[in-house]
Amino acid sequence: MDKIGWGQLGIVLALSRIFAEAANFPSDDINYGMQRFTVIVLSYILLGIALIPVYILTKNDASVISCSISGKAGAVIMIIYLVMASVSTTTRLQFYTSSTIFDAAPPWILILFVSIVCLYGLFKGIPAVVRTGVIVAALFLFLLMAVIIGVSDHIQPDFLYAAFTDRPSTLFYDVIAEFSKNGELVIFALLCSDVRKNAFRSLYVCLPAALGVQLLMTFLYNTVLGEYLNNTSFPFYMLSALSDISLLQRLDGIDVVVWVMSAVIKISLISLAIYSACTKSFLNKKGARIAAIAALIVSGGASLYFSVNTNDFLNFATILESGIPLITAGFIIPLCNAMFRFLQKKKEERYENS
Amino acid sequence: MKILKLVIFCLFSVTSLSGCLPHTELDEQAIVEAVGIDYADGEYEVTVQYFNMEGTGGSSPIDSTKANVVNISGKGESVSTALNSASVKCGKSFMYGITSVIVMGREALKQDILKTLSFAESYYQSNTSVLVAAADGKASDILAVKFKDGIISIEHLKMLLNNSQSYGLIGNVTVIELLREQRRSYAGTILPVLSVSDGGETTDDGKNVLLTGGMLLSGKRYISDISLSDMSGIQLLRKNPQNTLVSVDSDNEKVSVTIYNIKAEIKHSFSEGKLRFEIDMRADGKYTDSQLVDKDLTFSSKIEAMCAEALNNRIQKALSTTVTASGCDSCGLKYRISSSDYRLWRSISENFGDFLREAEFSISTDIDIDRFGIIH
Repeated sequence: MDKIGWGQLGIVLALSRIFAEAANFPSDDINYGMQRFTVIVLSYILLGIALIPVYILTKNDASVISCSISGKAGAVIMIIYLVMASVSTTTRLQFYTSSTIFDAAPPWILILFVSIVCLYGLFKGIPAVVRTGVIVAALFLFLLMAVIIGVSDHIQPDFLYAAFTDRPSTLFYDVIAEFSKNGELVIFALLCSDVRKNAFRSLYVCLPAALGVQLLMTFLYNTVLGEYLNNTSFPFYMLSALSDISLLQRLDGIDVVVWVMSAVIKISLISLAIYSACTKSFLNKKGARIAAIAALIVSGGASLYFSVNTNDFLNFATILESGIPLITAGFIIPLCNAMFRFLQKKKEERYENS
Repeated sequence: MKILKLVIFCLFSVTSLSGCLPHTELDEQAIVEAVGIDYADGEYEVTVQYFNMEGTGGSSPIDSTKANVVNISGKGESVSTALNSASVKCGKSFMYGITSVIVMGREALKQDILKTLSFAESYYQSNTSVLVAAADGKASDILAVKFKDGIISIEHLKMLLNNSQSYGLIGNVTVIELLREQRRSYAGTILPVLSVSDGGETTDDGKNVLLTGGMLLSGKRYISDISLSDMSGIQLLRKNPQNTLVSVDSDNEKVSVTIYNIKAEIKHSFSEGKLRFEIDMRADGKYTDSQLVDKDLTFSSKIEAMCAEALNNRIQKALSTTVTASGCDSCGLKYRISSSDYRLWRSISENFGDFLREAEFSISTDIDIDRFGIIH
């Protein structure tokens, strides 16, 4: 299979991460206030700290974090987490599109069409999905620039105030919830072996890019929408609808296109990561492909169920937002893999020296 | 060959499958230009003004000598049901994507504004940057006046509001601004008030629409009427107006000065349980219709001082009519405090309205007339 560049993977992972910012559920904590900036920065600091040991142990060869040392159990845990992330992404996308411009479309059509495209992505492989993802990322950047220009007249810096936190009681929970949205780390752990070289550099692109864009979006939310942000289900959609530039009066249609494409890329990456986890641990290529397709079907079915049982989805989302699934699948297992590999290497070196 | 097959397949899909989807042709939609909302006998009455492509009798689809719009009304327990009723009457589905103005009648403004305008924020087609204005009486009367000096009638009202803002008379209010502010219990929003009068030369019935003042809203409802002068005073503090006109008497001679490049700095302090605001305003001025012949430059100094005093009085009166009289924050004072002293804001936010009633304002204005016109 063709390999991909670390820059490409970094950009696509950043796009996938930013999708979580756009298609939030109404219950998600994107409220007006300076605390949001603090929450984002703290969650990335936490992420950086958590990545240090993995980085030190893997330095030149990040692919060891996805090797088969943790065995089938590790792979199964990662796959379960990825299926949960896929369900969450598909449900959020369905909720977002049916709440905005596809208000009359039945949920199954939205889920089915997205799943078919993701299935196609799975068959085309990582290089094709990543290349498409880079194009979508460019489209997203265009949208972001157009929105910034379009709402520049509405920006009111007075809406900002000097406080790091205004809801101390929720700060910890908010940081953990924000941190738990970084499911891209599991995708990275499983796909980094498909990067030509210097796979760890993908995170040097992904994390600063995602952090910068999130802070910029939060700045726009706070200075344009102000306290109205507390009542907005999809703040970026609202900004897009407010945008008014001479060529493009309303950008909300483009906004939906961009997020649908981002979700397709994200779900395709998840499917490819599941395929990768299966081939590395316990299945041949054919079996792994069937497993990835099964995961897509499960994800679509669960999203269909959640589309009419919103409360159940909120309970499901609470499990993801607790941070425990991500810590297990995104840190503990890769760290175990890396440590085992590190110790194995040392042992081999000692053996060779003696 | 593979690509050719793919292209043929795509073309076939595009030409054949699109007919399977439910769709609405453009001429089956009523493109809504303005919505008027009234309230009477416990129900809402909406007047929808929509673009009429061919019904005006012109030889071309858009006849520039006609108003090109049609009004239709509907009633219901909520604005949405009233809009549905109007749509049923009209026989077309409404498209709100390019709606320019929402006019609200006096009685409608006495209802919960968040509920009344929820249709404008929750429906995906709606645009929260639509301008909102108040009608002195009924909104339907305002929309009944159809102007012919634009491609569509509502352009006239939009230009009236935008032009008034550029002269510092009013601050235009959009749906998002109105809803954002009215969610704060002590916030004040001033809507420009439109009234029907005689003397219109661009309407068939000789009617005209004028800007006659403002309506102060707070706590989601109408509070009081205010004058154009008070609106202008608040506008000087809220958003930087492009300019405003001041006329002063000097030696029995009227001198008008256009004030521009206006910058207001508001500093606050809190002591003895009282909020104090120091407003420091700086602006440039230019003579509009002065009689500078035979006058030296000391005349300008005198006029500058008189203009400054006139502006001070205008702002002081506007603040006493809105902020101190009603305890509502009509000029964004909350943001001035919270952006610079968030701790103080936290301590006073619960009873901010009471603090505003007791607040003291000191205003100093410095005007520098630097343009003298082309006569001398």
